[in-house]
Amino acid sequence: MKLTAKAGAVYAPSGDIVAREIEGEIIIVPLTAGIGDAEDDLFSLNETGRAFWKLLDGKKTLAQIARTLAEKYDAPPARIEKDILGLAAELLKRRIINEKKSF
Amino acid sequence: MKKNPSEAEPGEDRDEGFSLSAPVIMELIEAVHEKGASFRFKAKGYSMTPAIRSNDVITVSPLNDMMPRRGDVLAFRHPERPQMLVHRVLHAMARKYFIKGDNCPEADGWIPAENILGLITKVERQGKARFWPNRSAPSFGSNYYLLFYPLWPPVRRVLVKAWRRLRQASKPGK
Repeated sequence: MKLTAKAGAVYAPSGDIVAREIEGEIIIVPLTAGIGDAEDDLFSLNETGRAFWKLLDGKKTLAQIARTLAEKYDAPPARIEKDILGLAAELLKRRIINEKKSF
Repeated sequence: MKKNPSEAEPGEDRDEGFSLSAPVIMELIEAVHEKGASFRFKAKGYSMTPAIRSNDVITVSPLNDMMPRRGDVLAFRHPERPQMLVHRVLHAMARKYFIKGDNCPEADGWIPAENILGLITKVERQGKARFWPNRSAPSFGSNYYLLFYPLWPPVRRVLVKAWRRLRQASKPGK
């Protein structure tokens, strides 16, 4: 099943990861069965990914994050949103982020 | 993030893939241990050959309340260099450990407890788990293995010398 991210949905980092900003990159280690696997499962975010990660607070929708980043990088919001949806889908697939359900 | 691998030693081979520097690995180990989880990564270097070979995948677990003891293999911060090493405890005293690589001529010396990052609990080579004595399941075999491994480098040197002499002696015309 292909996981897709929704622009109107809110996402937050999963509790089963360790994320550290080290030497200008965000390094994310998913914890699976009590093991943080740097050998097969390590995930690293570049500068744009890092900016996205910092805005991923479990309150803003992906569309809101895209608008903020479009202003920051002076780029077309549609393009930023497309990139963010792609990245969020990848992070969802790896269970690095979860969708926050609104009640 | 393609950096020198952990446990870097001069002249060793470098992996072409995604590898992390020793300071990054140390930080990640501590972060993962804070969550009570173990950390799995690729070892580099030959200081623990044959127990751990370069490119073996090792798992370092938090010590929690466990006290390291003779024979345990620990990951630790070098007290003087920004380096992480994975070597064996030869003696344990009150909150300090005399540590040496199985394949190193010299010991690392007494390492204080605060430099210890964790205990090696699993070693995988070419995708297969190696026999590794585990504190959670001690056995006579594991104790024997622990005692034997620090002796392996000098024993191997003697065997290699003997083998070479034997080959020299058996060469035709000698």
